[in-house]
Amino acid sequence: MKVFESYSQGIKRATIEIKMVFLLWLINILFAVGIYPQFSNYLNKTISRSIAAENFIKYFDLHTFFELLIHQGDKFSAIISFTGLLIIGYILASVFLNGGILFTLIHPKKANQKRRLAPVFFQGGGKFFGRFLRLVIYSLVLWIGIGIVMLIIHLILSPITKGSTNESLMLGLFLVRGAIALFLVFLVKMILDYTRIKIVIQDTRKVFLSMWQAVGFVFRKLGSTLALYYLYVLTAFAIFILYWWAQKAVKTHSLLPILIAFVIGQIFILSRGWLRIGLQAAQMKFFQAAKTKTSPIE
Amino acid sequence: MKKILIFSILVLLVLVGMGLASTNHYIVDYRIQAKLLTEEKIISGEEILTWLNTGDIPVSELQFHLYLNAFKNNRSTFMKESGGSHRGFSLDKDRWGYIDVTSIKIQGGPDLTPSMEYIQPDDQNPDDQTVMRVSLPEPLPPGETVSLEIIFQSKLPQVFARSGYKGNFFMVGQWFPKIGVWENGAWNCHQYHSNSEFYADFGVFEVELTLPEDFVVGATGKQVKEVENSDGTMTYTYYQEKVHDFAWTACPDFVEIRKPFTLDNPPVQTEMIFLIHRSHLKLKERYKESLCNGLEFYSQNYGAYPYETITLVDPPLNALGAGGMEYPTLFTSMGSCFFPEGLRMPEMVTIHEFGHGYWYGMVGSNEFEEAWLDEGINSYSEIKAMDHYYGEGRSMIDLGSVKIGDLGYQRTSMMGLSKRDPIMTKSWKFYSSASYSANVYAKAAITLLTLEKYLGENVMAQVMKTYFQRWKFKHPRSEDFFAVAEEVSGQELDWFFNQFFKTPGQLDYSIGRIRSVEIKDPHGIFKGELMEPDKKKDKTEEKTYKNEVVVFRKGDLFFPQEIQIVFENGEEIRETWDGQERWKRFEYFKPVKLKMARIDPENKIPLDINLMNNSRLLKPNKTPALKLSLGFTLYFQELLTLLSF
Repeated sequence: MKVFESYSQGIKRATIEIKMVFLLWLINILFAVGIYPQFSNYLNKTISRSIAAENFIKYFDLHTFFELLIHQGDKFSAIISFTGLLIIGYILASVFLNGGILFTLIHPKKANQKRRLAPVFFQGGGKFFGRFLRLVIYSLVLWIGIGIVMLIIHLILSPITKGSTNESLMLGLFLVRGAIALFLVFLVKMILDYTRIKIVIQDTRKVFLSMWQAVGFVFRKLGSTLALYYLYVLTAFAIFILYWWAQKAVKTHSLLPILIAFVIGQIFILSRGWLRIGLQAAQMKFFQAAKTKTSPIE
Repeated sequence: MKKILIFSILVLLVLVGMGLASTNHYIVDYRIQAKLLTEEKIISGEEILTWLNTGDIPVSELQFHLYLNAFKNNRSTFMKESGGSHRGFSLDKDRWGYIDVTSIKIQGGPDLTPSMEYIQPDDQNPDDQTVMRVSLPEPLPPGETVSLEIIFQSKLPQVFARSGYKGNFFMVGQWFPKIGVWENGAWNCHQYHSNSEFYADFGVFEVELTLPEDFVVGATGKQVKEVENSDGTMTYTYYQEKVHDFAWTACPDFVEIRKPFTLDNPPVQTEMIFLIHRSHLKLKERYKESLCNGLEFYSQNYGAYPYETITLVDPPLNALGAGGMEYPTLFTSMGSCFFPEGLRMPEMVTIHEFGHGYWYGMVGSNEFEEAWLDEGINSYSEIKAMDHYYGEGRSMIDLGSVKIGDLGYQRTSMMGLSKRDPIMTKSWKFYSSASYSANVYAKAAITLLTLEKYLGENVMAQVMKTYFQRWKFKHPRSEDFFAVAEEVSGQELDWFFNQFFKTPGQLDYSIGRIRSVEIKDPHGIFKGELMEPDKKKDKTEEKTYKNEVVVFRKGDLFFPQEIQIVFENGEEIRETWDGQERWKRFEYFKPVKLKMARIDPENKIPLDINLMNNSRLLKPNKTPALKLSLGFTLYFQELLTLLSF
């Protein structure tokens, strides 16, 4: 199956599964709800009675923000620590969500059949949680691999910049390193995506083996898998530009525009969920098509 | 005949007077020949120093600064105090720096080398060799001069704490044996400390620098001679009077740009010399504009820039330890090509370091003992210049919707770190280098801004101008600045200077309480009779409120306060309070409630450590908190979307 076909099928599937998009958004916002009252209480207590805070309505007044951190920073630090806990919680939730998304995707709605999302989604999440959690641990091998590659790149590139005063060269090499790192991170994420897809489709418990087979699959079809992945990255980037432009257009100087900007933000979060499902669906289609043709990873 | 005789005598006296006036009466006169050995990173030098005893007692010994010895080993006072790190840069332990005085003798007289001895007047650290003493064979009487021939070798460290080399870049500061200051019958010659800068007498410098011909050179003063040598080197001669130090720089990668600067009022004519590392040429317009701004601002506000040259040195990125430092008629700025226009670090550093030419270069403050006289006054001037040219509240960072002014930037340093020491503390006796910076730069500058608001901008401008004009080319002390301020303002200001410069206390006032309580009708027993509220009373009848505002003095220090009280109907009351008690209550009985109360409504007291508590609204305005809370929440949500493994 061609890459573009998989891409468009993924987009279509994500649009059909709009309830699942909302479910992802709902889970995201549930975690955010954990943090909003903390920020809100803190800021209401510290700045809402002070005229000094009024600048925040017009722009991000670094001076007042520093004043806030210096005089009331302890409470802010506590919130940031709490945020760390929520992030750990979300990572675990995300492991669950991966199972839910993929399980739902292999149980599509059939014509004229009413399918309730929640039972399928949560069944899938629960069923694959243990396997996907193991995958998170096994994936350390790949992440360490990235670390080693980056270290080698550092050892190769650092003699070029050592003692150099050429700032363009330094920035250029910094960007090169960043681009390589990002490429490798995306590559590993892609490998993990295909591992999960394989685990769900074949309902296998051989997580580590699946991961290595996914590595093989990705490298055998490197051009196509990358092309598909980066089509979604580009789509995400385009949506981000649109979001950034929309946020910039809203002058958040009073209550209503502030709320409008927040709603636009929520639409962006929704779009992220939509893309996540789209990518998973597209990769699943691509994987199934490839398997049908060549049985490449058994 | 008698008239002719008297006239002739008068003419003779005038001529003698003129002759005396043209005779060199500087305290120090340095004639130095130096050769840079670029491979060895060594400067081989011969110095003829003529020193005048301006005291009123004979001097039997001379003391010299040998600053480079601070980098000789890890046990020097500098290295012990700094832990080998200065402004975030570390000394490369394999590239030590030092200065060896191989010979010192009186010109045409006895050799003083055997009497050379290292002393440690500040901390008795036997491993510190940054101050040297030599004994004179005979005490030098007041008004007499002594000329010395000194032969020395200076080994530069890899760029660290302002000076040194990096690759083919050389920044050569504090590199020659430099005599201390004889004052009040004693030598003022401190060791080189991690937190201290310098102090020296004004004089004349004539320095010949010999180095490979491909090097572009810049130095204190004016280049008066250039000789091409047969061995592939060049010798440049620089000359400058009325300065107390000489620094120079050399690098083949400098691009030299020269631009004249003229100003009509006051008349200024000087040449701006930019030595910009070729990797930073993108910054040249920013450097030019900010140096012009500095020249204009300081000339118009304090006094005309008097020297024929001003040299801006832009060190390469890997030698930023040399950046942001001042020397007479030469300073180092710093920046990166990738600093966006709204990040005004190159502008701030340029204006700041140029400004030192006034408060360190011309007003010869003792930076060892009273660093604020240079750093604080200069930071005050810098804030004013930055705000003037780049806009208040956004002069430091103006990137989209993120902004901060130079004052706000300085306040962040003062707020957190200035409470352990008074501003007037000897540099090496501060609790930490952070406390040193927060006090002598930020707090001193903000204290002066507060004084300006108290005295009025025009009066303060006159104070600063008078202080500069009176003390240029001299050595003022803090008390001299205070005296000028009192004299010009006509006010007794001991209460101000004693509190803010001599104690570590903090200034913090807050609106502690604000409330409006309806005054109810009488209810209860009054004069033996029960009174009930009038239930038939017209509900639309005007109510009366007891409006109460309580202001607290939370800090140790006091300052007269103005309080703005605003009611719901827009009515405004201004109150004043001497600020001395711990709290003050203001009460108003009115048919309207309070809207808000604010201390220091015109922001006249930037020294107040906490501006957030300076105002209080009766009904909270939740919009800023909502905007920030939603913003932070949204960022958090966006972060979560990236976290799927």
